[in-house]
Amino acid sequence: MLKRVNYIIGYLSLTIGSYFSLLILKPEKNLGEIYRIFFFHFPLAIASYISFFLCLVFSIAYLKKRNLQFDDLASSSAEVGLLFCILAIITGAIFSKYAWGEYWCWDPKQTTTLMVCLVYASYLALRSSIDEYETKARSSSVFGIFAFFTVILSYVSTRIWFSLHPTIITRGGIALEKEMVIILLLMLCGMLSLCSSLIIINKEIKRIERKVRNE
Amino acid sequence: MKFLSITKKDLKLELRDRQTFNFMFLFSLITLMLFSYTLSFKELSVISPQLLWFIFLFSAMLSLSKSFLREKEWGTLEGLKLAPIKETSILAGKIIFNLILLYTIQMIIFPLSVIIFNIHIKSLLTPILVLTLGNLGLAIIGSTFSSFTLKSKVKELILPITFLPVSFPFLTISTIALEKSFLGQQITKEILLMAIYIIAVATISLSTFSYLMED
Amino acid sequence: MNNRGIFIATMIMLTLIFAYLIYLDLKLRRLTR
Repeated sequence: MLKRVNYIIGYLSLTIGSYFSLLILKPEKNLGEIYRIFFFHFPLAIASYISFFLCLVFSIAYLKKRNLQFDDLASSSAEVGLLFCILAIITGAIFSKYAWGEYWCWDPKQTTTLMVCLVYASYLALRSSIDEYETKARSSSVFGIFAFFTVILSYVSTRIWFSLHPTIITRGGIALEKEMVIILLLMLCGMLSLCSSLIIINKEIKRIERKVRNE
Repeated sequence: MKFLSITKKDLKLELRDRQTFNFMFLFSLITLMLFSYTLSFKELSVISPQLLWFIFLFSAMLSLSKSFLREKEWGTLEGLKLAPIKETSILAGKIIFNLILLYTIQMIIFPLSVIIFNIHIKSLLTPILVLTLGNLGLAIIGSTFSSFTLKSKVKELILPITFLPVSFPFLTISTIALEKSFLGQQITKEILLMAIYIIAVATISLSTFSYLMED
Repeated sequence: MNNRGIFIATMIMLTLIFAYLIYLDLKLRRLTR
């Protein structure tokens, strides 16, 4: 029941959000038409950060409680987070091409986000190279704790290095107009619903795979 | 100081046939010659500190996986686990052993590279400090991740894949620090960041290593 | 920058994604009954 509500909320908010952000109510700013991709890029990035944080939480939870369902949740949130992170990099590269002239600028934020992708790709590589479930869960949980450092570095990379990446939530408040903030929050809500439903379905699939393989 | 006995045991094993040391030394020498042959003097003067660090990194990466793999192949892993020491002492002993290994390689390769790459060094103390901290970081992460090789299907290949993305922030800071220390500039911020990273990684490794040594 | 084309493409992708999610959900529900 809750899952169905989650799907409906996700679909409705993403539809309404993309309708408003792409077609109506959004006059151009001095950046031109290209700023509209920000309404997709920002929720994707936030959703990927939250997924990686959930991966850390579930890894620590597995090490404490030894319930293999936590390991299923950790690996599925790593996969979903990796997918959203790649999409965030692609949308960011498109924005970078039209705003600053090149797809890839070796900007600190871009580089550190690519490193986050590579870290979680190697997390999945580590998982696929170990056969037994308990050892796989233990090793990947420890690796998941190390992998979160890269995410923290990516998040603070705009603050400690000079970067072209715009920071919206600055000390003075939110630097956007009010209508844009509403649509942004709507898209964020939709992306988080999509992210959570993907994680839950992925976790169910892994649990059934484990049960089937144990027989 | 029980972990020192682990270090002494590994040193004794290593001094018997010096295989790992020979391999690391030969590999560093060959890559040193290869880099100095394929790059012109002008390019070398710009990137020589970073190249030097990469040579040490690659030779460490290829041979650090041996610390636990040798234990498993010779069947001494169970003996280690049954010994009356904590598992964190095993890890600490192996970290110190890998540190000594890296130091001995660098003591020979570093003067050679200064001659071959034609690096001008202002002072000798700060590069040694940077190399010490760098070795410590490499040894800690390498020793922890080499315990993944015990149960993995690809055995020693899992170390480079997991090691490089996780140590990416550490690598960037240490290459900047090495370059600045060759020029004689101030490196207090970089030393601080490296120390923070080492403390964080050491805390996590030592506290989660007992989970990796189960079963 | 054809906004309407991009919007239609986004809508098609979203509908496909959610339809696949609901299909997987129903299939899992049938498997675990």
